[in-house]
This record gives sequence, C-alpha cells and structure tokens, in this order.
Amino acid sequence: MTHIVAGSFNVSVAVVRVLALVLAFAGVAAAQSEPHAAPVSDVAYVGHESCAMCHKAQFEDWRRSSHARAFELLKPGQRRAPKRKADLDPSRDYTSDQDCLRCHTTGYRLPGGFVSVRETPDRVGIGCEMCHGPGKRYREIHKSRRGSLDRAELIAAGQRYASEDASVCVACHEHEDTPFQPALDHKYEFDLAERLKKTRSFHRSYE
Amino acid sequence: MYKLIAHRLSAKLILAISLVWLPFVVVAVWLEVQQARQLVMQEVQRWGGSAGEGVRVALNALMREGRMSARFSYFEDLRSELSEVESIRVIRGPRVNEIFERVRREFDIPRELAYIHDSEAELARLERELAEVTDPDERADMIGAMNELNSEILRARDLVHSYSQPLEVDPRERPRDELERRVLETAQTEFTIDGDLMRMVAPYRVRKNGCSEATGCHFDAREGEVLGAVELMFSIAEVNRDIHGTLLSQLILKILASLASLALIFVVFDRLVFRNINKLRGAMERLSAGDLGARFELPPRRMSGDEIDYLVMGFNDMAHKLQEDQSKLERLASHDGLTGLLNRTRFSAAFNLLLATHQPDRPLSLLMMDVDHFKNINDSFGHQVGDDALRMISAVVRENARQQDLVARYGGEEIIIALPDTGGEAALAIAERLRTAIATRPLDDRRGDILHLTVSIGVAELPRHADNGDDLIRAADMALYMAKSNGRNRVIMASASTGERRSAVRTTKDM
Repeated sequence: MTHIVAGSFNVSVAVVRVLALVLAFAGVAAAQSEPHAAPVSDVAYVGHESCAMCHKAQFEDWRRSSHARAFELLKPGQRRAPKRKADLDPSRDYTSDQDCLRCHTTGYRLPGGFVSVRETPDRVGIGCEMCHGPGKRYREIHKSRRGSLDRAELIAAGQRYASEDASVCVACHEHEDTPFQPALDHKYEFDLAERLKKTRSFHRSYE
Repeated sequence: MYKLIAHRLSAKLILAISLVWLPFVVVAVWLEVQQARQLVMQEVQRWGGSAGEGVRVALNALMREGRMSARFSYFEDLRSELSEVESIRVIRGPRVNEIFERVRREFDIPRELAYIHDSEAELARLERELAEVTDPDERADMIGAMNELNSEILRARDLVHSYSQPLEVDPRERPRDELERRVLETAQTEFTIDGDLMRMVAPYRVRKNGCSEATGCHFDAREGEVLGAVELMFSIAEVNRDIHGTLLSQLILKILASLASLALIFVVFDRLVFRNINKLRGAMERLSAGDLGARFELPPRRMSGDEIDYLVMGFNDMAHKLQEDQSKLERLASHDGLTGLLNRTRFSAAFNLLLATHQPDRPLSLLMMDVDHFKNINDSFGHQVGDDALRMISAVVRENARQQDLVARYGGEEIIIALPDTGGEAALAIAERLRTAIATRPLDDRRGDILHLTVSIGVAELPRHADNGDDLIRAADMALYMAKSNGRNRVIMASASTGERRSAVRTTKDM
C-alpha cells in the first residue's frame, strides 16, 4: 500500500519547493528589519528597529534628522565645501574609513554594533543607541514594564538621558581626532542647550 | 471460443471464478487508491500548513514595518515565483482594523503640519542664501540639502493625507465565505479540495504579547488572538494526475495478474483433471462401442495415487475383466467344454467357411474318428475315465493337427477333422498316424492299471468322394462305419461314390 505513495507521488517534492521559496521570501523580509548579527552579550547594540516598534513618532523625527543622515556624509560628493575646508578630499569615499565610522555609525566595532550596510542596516548613521546607550539590557526592561519605568533602574541598565548630559554628545562632537575642529569654523563649537533650541537633530520629547 | 467455454467444464469453472474474482480486484484497487489519496492529501496538507506558516512569518515582518500597503504587491511577486501556488491572499480579521484605526488616530497631524511649515520656511531660507553663494562646492551642498528637504515635505504631506481619512480596507482582504470566518474564529487551519485546486486558509495569530525575533511586536493584541488569515490556493493537478494514473495502472496490473493466475489455474486444472477426464471419456466411448481393448494410458509421472489415478486404474481393471469374460463367453459358445475342441455348431460354421473359400483344384479331406467300445469303458471304469479317454484322444489329435486344420467334437465319442489342401492318401496317412498314436498312448483307469484304447477312422476326400460338404461328411461317416464293421481299430478310405461304397471299401489292415 505504501509503495504507491513512495513510488508514484512526487507531490511532496513540489510542495517542498513551494515551502522553500515561501520561507526564503519570509527570511528576506525578516532580515531587512531583524538583523541577527549581534554577538550575545549583556552590553550590546540592538539597532534602531527594536526601538522604532514602539517609539514610532520619535523614530519618525529621528529619521528626518542629520543624525540619521550622518553615514551619507561619508560618501563622495557629499558636503564638498566643509570637507575641502577640513583638508579632506570631497571626491573620496570615507564609508570604510575606521576613524570616521566610529562616529558616523551606531556601535562600530562594539558588540551588536555596525558591521556593514548590508548586514546591519539599522546600525547605519547615528542611531538611538549612540545617545541612549547600547539597548540590549534596558530594552528588556522597556518591554516588560511598559508604563511604569524606573529611571534609576534604567540608568543602571545602561540607558542614558542624553539631552541632560552633554558629555554623551561631545564624545564625538569634540573628539580630539575629528577634522572638524572649532578652530576651523565656529559652527563646530558644541553647546548642547543652544543646539536643543535651534536645530532639528532631535526627536520630540515625552513632556 | 463459445464452444470451448460452453462444452468444457474447465472453461466454465474458470469463467465462474473470474466473474467472482474480478469485482473483488476492482474493489481492492479502488480501496487502495482511496487510501493512497488520503495519505497524499495528509502530506499535502502538512506541507501546505508549513507553507502557510512561512507566509504568516513574512506577513508579520511586513506588518511590523508598517508596510501594510506593500502587502499585495509583495504577495503578487511571491505568487509569480510559485508555480504551484495559484494565489495568495491576506484576510483581515476585525481586530486588525481596530489596531490600525487606533494607530491612525494616534498619528499627530498638527505636529506633522508644523513640520511641513517649518521645512518650507527652511527651504525658502536656503533658496535666498543660494543666490548669494558663489562657491560651486557650497552651492552643490546646498542644492542637495534642499532636494532632501523637498522630498521629506512631500512624504509628510502624503502621510497627513492618508491618515486624515478613515482606514480603507481593500475589498480583497475581507473574509469571503463561512470557511474564512471560521478560521478567524477558531484559529484552525482549514483545507478544501475542489478538483485540481486545494485551498488552504491558515490563521495569522499572535504568538505572544510583546516582541520576539520571529513574530515582531504585538502590544495591542493578546496572545493567541487571531489578527487575520492567509489564503493559499495550490494546484494539485499533478497529484490528481498521479493518483488517476496510478489507479489506472494498478487496475490494469491487477487485472492482468488475475487473468494470468486464472490462465495458470486453467492450464493446471486442464492438465491434471479435465484432459484426463476427457481421455477417460474417449476410452469409455470406445469400450461401449465394442472395443474391449480400449484402455487409458497414464504417463508414468502422473501415477501419484490421486483420484484420477484410481479412476483410471478402476476403468482399466474393469475393461480388462470385461475383455476376459467376453473371451471366456466366446470360448464357451464355440468350444466343447470337456475336450476343448470346437463344438459341432462352431465346426459347421467354420467348415462352411472353409468350403466357401476352398479352391476347386485343391484337395480337401475329412477324417471321422470314433472311439472303439467307448460304452464299455464308461460302463467298466466309470464316466470319469470315459472323460479322461476323450481328453487324451483330443490331446493326441490336437498335437498332430496343423494350424489350418479344423478339429471338432462331432458327437458323443466322435471327432471330426477337416484337412485343407490334403489329398486322400495324405489324409489316410495322417489318420493312420493318429490311430497308432492313440493306440500307444496309455490311459490311467484310475484303479492302478493302464488301458490302451483304439479308434476307428473314416477318410473321405473332396471332390473324389463327394461334391459338397454334407456328402463329404456322409462319405467319411460311411467309411467309419465300414471301419467299425471290419473289426474296428482301423482306417478306411471312402469308396469312389456312395453307391459303390460297400465294394470299394479298403482297409488299412487289408493293405
């Protein structure tokens, strides 16, 4: 009786092919938004997709900010005038320059951080975690205690309130190796309070 | 063919078996195919369920990205890649609409409008500044920034436009029938098969509240809640073709196998039983037609001691006994019981036949013999010795007779001997030899003594002494009478004619 099934029906082959294709598509769709390159570690970056699931409005604000576009600036032809002033070559591609990537991507060379545009598309640019700290630990608190978050607990888990702490910003803005020194142009001088007032680099607050 | 079937028991038997057997074969194959079909369908459904799960995961990933509008184009792309999948459709449960409607209402339109306003002001400022900038690099940077800003403004306007109207549900996403509504309600995958098309409706449900790598985030839906379903249409034409092809080939194979086994049974039955029965019938017909030699010969290897063998042996025994009895009867009818010689009736028939075939130019002689004083032997020694005497004399005559001679017991103690192709003188010599042989042959008188008998013989020759059989016998008889009259224990040739009988008598003793 079984020989009929085993011998004559290749339906399962056809169906397996369907399944494989469907799963391949599903995998592509999932990979676009769910990179899994992050090494397993308590202190690790998770990428902006994880934050954006809930903080949709903040994510939308950030997406329009210059922080989100920071990686774009490394590409040849972008911001020619400032690059020339800082003695950089405007036609050169700086997207694989390690010194630049440290401040133009999220968590470069750190656990769960930027690897490449293809592998970690949601660690491109200066994402949520560059200001608020690597999210792996505190994201769990966000998920499990929705609506009743304890600030001290979050800080203990590595979350930073960057708008109240300029030291987070100056780590890049006044980095000793950056070619864009205040001596070059006074616009490179960093004053957090002033910046919060007049630029569109930040997302809406929760107040 | 009709005759073969109508008149042969084996053919009738095979026909009867076939009529009973073949429906069973057909039913068996049908049941087998039904079972196979069920197995295959289970397999298809199992894989179909997995495929549905794959689609569900893909759908989830898209939903999480908020790309609901992209779904149909996505699935249409997917469908074009899957030849076996006729269509893929997303069915929206009522809960999804609630969730999306809430998201829509929560969208901050005033803030978005403020963004558009600010951006337009910024764009105007950049435009004014651009007029005064002469450095080409600086101009290129500014134009790039203005373009980006412009596209952001357009995107924001789109969002405001789409979120300021109630959520539009694509009519294709509404549950179409009872089956789809049932899936949304029970969260159980359903399958239906209509001809070559298998339809699968798999539920799309929340695995767990919150976020997970595989299913994304569901903060608004409870665990296990059904958000929607995925409808997949599979073509199972190939499966059906396989099943029907198998049905047909199985049926043909089984019927051929059955016919082959029937043919084998036919041959075996025919060889072992029917052919032998028919041969036996032929032998019986020959037997009843009078051929008592009819026998049934079995090949040696057939002698295995079964019913056919016993039937055949019984028949052969019967035929043999019949033949024996028949020959005994025939002998009894034509021969004398005491002496074993022909009886008078048989002799007459044989003598007439001899005369009828006798050639006129060839001589034919007749001896008529009578035992001398036979009455005295009977009276003195008893009839047993008389019988012994007759047997002894018959034996002597038989010993001396040729193949073609007719020897018969003609009367009580008379023996007649017809000698074809024998002249009177030769016959006379033969008669003399017989007389001497009998006279010298001892006879036990059953009392301890030996007797010696004598005979008298009359000889007559055709055509010398007669011109027909009756006259020849009469002539020989007359000659015997003469021998008796002349003192017995002698041989006398008949005279030339009956009229001169007395004068022409010659005795051997005289010679």
